[in-house]
Amino acid sequence: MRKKIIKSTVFLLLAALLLGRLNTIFRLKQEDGILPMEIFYEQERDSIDVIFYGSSHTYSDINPAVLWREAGIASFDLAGSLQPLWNTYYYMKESLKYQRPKVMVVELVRAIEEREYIEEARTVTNTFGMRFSREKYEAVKVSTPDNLIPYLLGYPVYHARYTELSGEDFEDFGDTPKGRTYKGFYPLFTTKEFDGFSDMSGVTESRELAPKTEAYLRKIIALAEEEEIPLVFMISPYQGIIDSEQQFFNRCGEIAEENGVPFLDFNLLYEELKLNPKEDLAEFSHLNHRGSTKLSAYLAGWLQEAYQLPDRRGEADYADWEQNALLWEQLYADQMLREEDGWYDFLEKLSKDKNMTYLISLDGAFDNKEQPLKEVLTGMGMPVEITEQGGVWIHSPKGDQAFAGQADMQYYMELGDSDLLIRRNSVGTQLILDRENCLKTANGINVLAYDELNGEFVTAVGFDAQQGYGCVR
Amino acid sequence: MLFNSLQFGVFFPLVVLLYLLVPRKMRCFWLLIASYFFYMGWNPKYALLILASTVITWLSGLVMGRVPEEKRKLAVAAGFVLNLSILILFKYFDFLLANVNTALRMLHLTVVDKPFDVLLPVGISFYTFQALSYTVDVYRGTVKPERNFFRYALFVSFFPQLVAGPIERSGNLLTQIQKLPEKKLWNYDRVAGGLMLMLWGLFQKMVIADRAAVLVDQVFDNYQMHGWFGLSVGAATFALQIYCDFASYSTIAIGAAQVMDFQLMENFDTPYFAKSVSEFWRRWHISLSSWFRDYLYIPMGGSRCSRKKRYRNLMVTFLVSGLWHGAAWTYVVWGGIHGLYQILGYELKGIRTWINEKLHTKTDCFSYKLGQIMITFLLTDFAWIFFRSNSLTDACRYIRRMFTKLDFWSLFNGELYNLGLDRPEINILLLGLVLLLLVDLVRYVRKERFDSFLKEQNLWFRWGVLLFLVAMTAIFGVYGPGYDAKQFIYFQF
Repeated sequence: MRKKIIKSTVFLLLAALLLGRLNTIFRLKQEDGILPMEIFYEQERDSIDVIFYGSSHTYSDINPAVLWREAGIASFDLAGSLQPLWNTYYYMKESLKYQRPKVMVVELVRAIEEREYIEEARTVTNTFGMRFSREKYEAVKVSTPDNLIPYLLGYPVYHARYTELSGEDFEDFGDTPKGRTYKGFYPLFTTKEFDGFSDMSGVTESRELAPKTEAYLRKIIALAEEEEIPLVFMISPYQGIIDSEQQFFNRCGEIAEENGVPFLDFNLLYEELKLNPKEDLAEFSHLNHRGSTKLSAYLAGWLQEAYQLPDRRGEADYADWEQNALLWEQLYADQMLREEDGWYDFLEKLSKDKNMTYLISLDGAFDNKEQPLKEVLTGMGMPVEITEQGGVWIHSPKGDQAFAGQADMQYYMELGDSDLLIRRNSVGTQLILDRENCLKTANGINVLAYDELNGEFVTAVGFDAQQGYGCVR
Repeated sequence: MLFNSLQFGVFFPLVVLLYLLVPRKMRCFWLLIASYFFYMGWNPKYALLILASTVITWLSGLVMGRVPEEKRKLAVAAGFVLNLSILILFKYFDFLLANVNTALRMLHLTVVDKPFDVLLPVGISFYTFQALSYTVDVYRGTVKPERNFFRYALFVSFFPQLVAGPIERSGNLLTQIQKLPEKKLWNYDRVAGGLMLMLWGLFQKMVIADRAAVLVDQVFDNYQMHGWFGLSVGAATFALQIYCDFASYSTIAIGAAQVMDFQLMENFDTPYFAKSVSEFWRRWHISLSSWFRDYLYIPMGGSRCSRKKRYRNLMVTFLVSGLWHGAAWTYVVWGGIHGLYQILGYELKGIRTWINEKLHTKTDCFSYKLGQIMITFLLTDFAWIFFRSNSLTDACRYIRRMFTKLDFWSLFNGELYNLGLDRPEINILLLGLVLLLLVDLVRYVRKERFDSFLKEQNLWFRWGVLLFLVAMTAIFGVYGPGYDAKQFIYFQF
């Protein structure tokens, strides 16, 4: 009998391990609500000075790396996609179990929420990152009372992800280049041009918030008072704002004033932020990498002045924030490279980047004799034979590789998790990255760039010699 | 409370745990409470119906035990009439009314616009038949009337088989309930075997049946959009779906009962390996077909009568069996087709033998038996089209399209992946089908059930199979609130 009990226990243990592993693989790892909370738990206890709460307008518009660079503020974006205030409230309660921030900033765009419940997909992004706790239970209950158990367990909701699994699902996020250095920011590297911003200065009347939304707004104020932590309300700037939304925000301002909570409505402060509608917006609702940098820099100054927050730069315990800023700066540089269409400036940016592995392939009639191509390339360190005969040059922080001439060659290398296969023969060149040929031009310069710091492929670009080195992407 | 629900995942272990802990005399009460709780999970009000059915048949049994022989008929008739009245009222009233109204319309008379319009009480056909079989058994003297109401109530409502069978006989289940205080509850091998059966049943239901249902629903609800290929795949998949759906419930029921030291009767025995339609009915829903055999077919005269009467008995039995499955003409026709198959089977037996002799066909070889199995499957699958279709008109149109829209090119143009399940889902379904085939082959060839076969194997194989099934069900089972990747695309905010 004893043997049978041991056997059953071992079997049950194996089954539990198996199910546990399946849960780790299948669980959702979205950056728009789940990862920020999961990585929040990884932060050193009581190390964060400012926590930003709210929806996508928080995690895409406020960049902790910029606050760090500007004023040494240790901040974190703890937000979820389309997060209603009732979820924000439980995020705040949960976060205060682990951190004692000096200021809590709540972005209130979702005060426009008039529904009693939002769609369940949002319950996923706003509760799945939370550890099992009373706060999580309440957050799920207030969001989807009819599906309480599956959403608390999680696995029944996401077990059918088998068709969308990728390599990332088999990795522990702690091992990724981001890991605990990630501070919840989700940059939008796209740009949509607008002629201007909507002028909201004329909208002075206010509109009652939905009862559930107002109730939780007041709970947030009460929580901050109870915890004796200064609270700030803000509204992120966005191009698509309409009058009725501004009226809701005006009501938020009134409630803030009643309770002595500072209220920053950035839809009335476009000029102070120096936002450019042609360059700084990702789309009608969010700022892009440039716009978020401006807003974050403004916030850094404002918070520093209002609350005299400590400058943590140089403190050993805050190395994560420094690392996060470095990663961000590299991502920003990567984006600048993606946006660059001129061959000369592109190569110059590339050559100055110390964290980049890049491949330059000179193919076909690559030199149109009209530009100082050879000088620029030899200046970067490319061997002269390649600049004369054509070929492939790979520059990496770990060392260079050069393949001159048109002779048959095949070379394989790994770029992070990607596979790169280079083939050259009399017919031409193939630059096969993860089964896709990235060769952009048969006559000219082909470049592949890989960001070693963030472990991300940056761009594949060609400059066509026959088109005056026009950019081909 | 469905077997594949989280609620049952909590309910069952709790019931078993307390069943092991309560005093011997309390076991019956505890299981009775648990069974009523289980049933009330659907609709608490319907517990009154099962209670009414229980009281009627219990009293009928008691009366039969006390009255002289000539009055026993009255008691059994009363039990039948009252019980069947409940069944007819709740299950067939609207169907009957619709047919009466059709007749009235044809005669240009005013229709009766008072449908009963209530939700069909779950499992009413199962427990009604189980209770009725008891009254007949008492009447025939094969079992003694049960004097203890609670024991009898547990017999009618025993939760593992309450809502979808197997339809138990008093000679089996009631006898086991009577011996409940003497049962030795804990037996490692028996409990482990029961749990293995439950796991296999969950796999059948959640991975195969519920996945097949997606394709079946797509094809049957849009049959106008499909040709021969899609409609044939739809019909074949429905055969798979209904088998896995129904057999899985019985398997889980048998496993759950086995955990608690109850042996329920087998309900499915590799039906699609049957070599004739009559054999199919000896392997499909055995508890129901044997019920009809014992309480309808044989009392009407069975096969020990003239050929004409025998065919009549067969036809009546199958028509009633069709009606038992559902209150619609599609089920009646389905039953009728099976009756017809059997009659034709008898009628054409001579011709078949003559053809086999003329063609010197070997009948005792694999190919002949395989041919028989395939023909039987095609015949039963043809009948399933009526069972699944939403109306008789739909069924006829479905069949007509299947034989007139001959899109043979669809075999090769990827049409299979446009029938509601994409390529990965079809692959999972095929994998499930292979596993099902293996398990059924073991059953068919070695006459061994899944649990007893596994118990004979080496530990690494047994555990490997079980862990594989756990993982497959956890990943590929159709459950949860319907996560849809499209719902989560970042820019929807």
